[in-house]
Parts: sequence; C-alpha cells; structure tokens
Amino acid sequence: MSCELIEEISSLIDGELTADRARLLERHVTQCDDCQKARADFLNLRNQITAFNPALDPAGASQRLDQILGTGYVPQSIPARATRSLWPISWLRPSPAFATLAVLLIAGVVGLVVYRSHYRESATPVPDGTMAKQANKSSNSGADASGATQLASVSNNNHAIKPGGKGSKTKTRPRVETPKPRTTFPELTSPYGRQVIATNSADNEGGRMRAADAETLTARHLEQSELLLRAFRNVRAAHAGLRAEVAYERQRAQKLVYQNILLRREADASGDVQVSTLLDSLEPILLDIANLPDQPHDEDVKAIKERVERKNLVALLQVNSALARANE
Amino acid sequence: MASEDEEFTMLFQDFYPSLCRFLECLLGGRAALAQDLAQESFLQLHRTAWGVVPPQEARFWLYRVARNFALNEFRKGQTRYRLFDRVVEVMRPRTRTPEEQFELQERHQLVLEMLQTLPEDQRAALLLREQEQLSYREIGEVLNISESKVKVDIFRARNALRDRWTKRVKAYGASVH
Repeated sequence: MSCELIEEISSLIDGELTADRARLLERHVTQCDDCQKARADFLNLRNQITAFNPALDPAGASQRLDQILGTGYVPQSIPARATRSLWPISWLRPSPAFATLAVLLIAGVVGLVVYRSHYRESATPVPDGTMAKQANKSSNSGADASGATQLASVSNNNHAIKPGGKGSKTKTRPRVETPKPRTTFPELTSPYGRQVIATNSADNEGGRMRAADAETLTARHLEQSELLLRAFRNVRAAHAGLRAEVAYERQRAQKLVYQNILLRREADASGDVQVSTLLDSLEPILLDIANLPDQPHDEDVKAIKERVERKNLVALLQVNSALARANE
Repeated sequence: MASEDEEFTMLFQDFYPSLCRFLECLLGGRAALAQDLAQESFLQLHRTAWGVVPPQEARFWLYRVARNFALNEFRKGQTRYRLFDRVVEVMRPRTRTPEEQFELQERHQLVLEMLQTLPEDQRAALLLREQEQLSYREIGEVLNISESKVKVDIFRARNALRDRWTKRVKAYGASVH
C-alpha cells in the first residue's frame, strides 16, 4: 500500500503547494520511502519528456512565417478539412482568379438587369415589383411577351426545382428559392435605443422584408458596413485643438453591430463559413466604433483605421456583398 | 502596421518551436503535421485575433487553437499512424554518432509511445506542464478546465506513466535514469 500523500508529491514538484504545505511535505518525504521513490520517478519522467526536443529547420520556419505574413496564402500541406474552416471552396479564396470571377459575375448581373429592363420596356408591363423579380430569375429565353402571369407561373414551378445536381453540393450559398428552416434566436434589443433588429421572423417591414431571405439581408448589411468603414476611413484627424467628429459613424455602427450579431448567428446556423468568418472579423471593429466617445482621441481612431486596413475589410466586404447580390 | 508585423514575427520566432514540439508530442510524433498545424494556428491568430487578443494572452490562445486542431485530427480518425515510421522520420540523423542517434531515437520513441497511452486530456495537461512549464491555472485556461482537474489529470498521467515505465524497464532491463 503506497503512501496517500503521493498525489501531493506531484503538486510539490510543480511548485503548486503553499509554502507551509510544501515545507511539511518535504519533511514527510525525508521519512517516507514511497514518497521519495515517487518524487524521484516523477522527476525522472520530467527529464525524459523535456529531453524530447526535436530540432526544427530554421529556413522552413522562416518560410512558413513569410507565408503567413504574405497575402493570399493558402496552406498547401494542411489537410483539406482544416483549410476549409476559412475558405470552404478553393475558388472562393482571395486570389486574382477569385477577383476576376467576382468582377465577371457582377458584370453578368448588371448586363442581365440592363437587358431585362430594356426588354421589359418593349414587352407587356409587369404589374408588380416582386413578380418582376421572380420573372427575372426564371425566364431567360422567354421571348414571347405573354405577360407577367405566365412568367410568374414558370417562376413558381422553379421553386420546386433545385439547381445543379452534383454541383449544388459544393456551393457555399446555394441559390435556394425555398429557404432553409431557420434557427430561432431571441429578439435582440439594442442598448443604444429601440432601433434595428429584429427577430428572426423579420416581419417588421411588412411583406417585402418577409420575402427577403438571409442572403439579401446579409448583402445589404455588408454594403452598409462597407459604406460605414469607407466613411470612417475618411474621418479627419484632429487639428488646431479640435477632435475628430465621429457622431454619424458611431450611430451607424451602433445600428449595424446588432444586425451583425444576428446575421453572424444566422450564417453559423446555416453553415456559411465564409460569411460567418467575415462577420466575425467585422464585429469587433463595429463594436469599437460604436463605443467611441463623442470626441475620441486621435490614437483610438487611428488604431481602428489601422485594424480595418490590416484586415483588408473594405475590399472583403465589397467582394462579398457583390457576390451576395449576384446570388440573389 | 509594420511594427505589428515585427511583433508578430518576434512571437512566431519565440514560440513556433515550442508549439511544434507540443503538437508533435500530442500527435504521437507526426512532425510534419505538427508543423502544419502550428503554422495554421499562427495563421488563425494573424487573421482573426492579432490586435484583439492581448499580447500576453497570445501564447495561451495559440495553445488552445493548436490543441483544437489536433483534436480535429483525432476525430478525423486519421491518426492511425505507424509510430515507429513517424519517429524515424522525425529523428533524422544530425550531428551524432550512429550509436548516439540510435539511443536517442529509442528513447524518444519510448517517450512518445508512452505518452500516447494516456487519455488526450491528461496528455495535453502533462505536456503543458512539463514541456511548456505552464502553471496549473494557465493550463486550466488553455484546456478550459478547473485547476483542480488539472492537478488530478497531471497526477494521474504521471502515475500511469510511472507504472508503465517501471514495467518496461523490468521487461527490457534498460535503465530509467
């Protein structure tokens, strides 16, 4: 039967006992063979474990550091699943190819809108804005001007059809006409006043809001955030005894921060890692701006600006909001 | 901004080797994967938390993230490595005689094998204590457990390793010391 104080020997060699207790135990160890042996064995194990110190290739480490600090780094040797946590689809990673794709998508959408508006002028007028939007999505070859009713019925049929068989699996945000069941979150109340947000039902703006899905809300939010950050970037530094005036930006940030929380949760719930990551990095910035005093110190404003710049947030927001718009 | 990168570089240079070692022991000697995960942890820090996490907390933040990456690896079920092959790969010849090298490999292999017999939470706690010299409180923060659990985990890990070590010594007649 070994000594019951052996457990404390472990804490003793870690220096985690009080001075009094350690002194008592030291005295005990001198008289207890079990504890003496245990201490020797524990210390020996420590030596064995700390002796494990594999040498690293300094050049390799330096290369890895460069990759982290450089832009557009995508780890090559990390297993796909680890990498996927940041950019779920390889072609969505920030890269020249991605930027080109985004520009093409935007150009395509703009072209389609221009074409449709031109086409609509010469065709039977569409009585309702919502229907027109549906018609936009559904009809691409409907050259006969049979009017909104027919187009709308085609559109309704399309609700049942999921685009893309195999391909749809890999989409980050599939263009779903039938929205996923949403997770219900409690209503968020802003401490800055009864402004903004909203419950998940999102029915506070009537029918239009109800029809808008999370993607639309997210796209709008990203646009608003982009505008805010652009405005904030232009906040003048103090001079001649005056301090920077940020009342407008602060008010906008207070509104957006709760919207951001809600949409980030929504993105988390729907597994949209890309948007979730973006909103996650946006959140502390919005919070900081929202919590600025009336006339903040230059250093505070500058620090936030630098963080925005370092995270390249404005560009990321621009690309993502454009992409989200394109997906609508 | 440049100074932030400098700070980050200093942190990387100071701490990257430790993080690699911690991960390598946690993963049972998979050196290449350990380095990848260490790099991924620093990347996460740089992208999402640098400037947000206080500098004195960055080290703990990295341990936490790195351990989560390692846990993901375990969960993937791809950690069915062949330990001996891995260790041989890790312990490439350096400036030692073949005999010394062989002895060192054997010893390292033994340590890794024995560590792998521990439950993951005990192994992580023991490594953070012995290799990284974190206090019980700090280990508790990294692993998100209480100090008393840290204390118990470390003791159990030591006791289990002590038993196995003694048996192995008896079996092979090698010296523990």
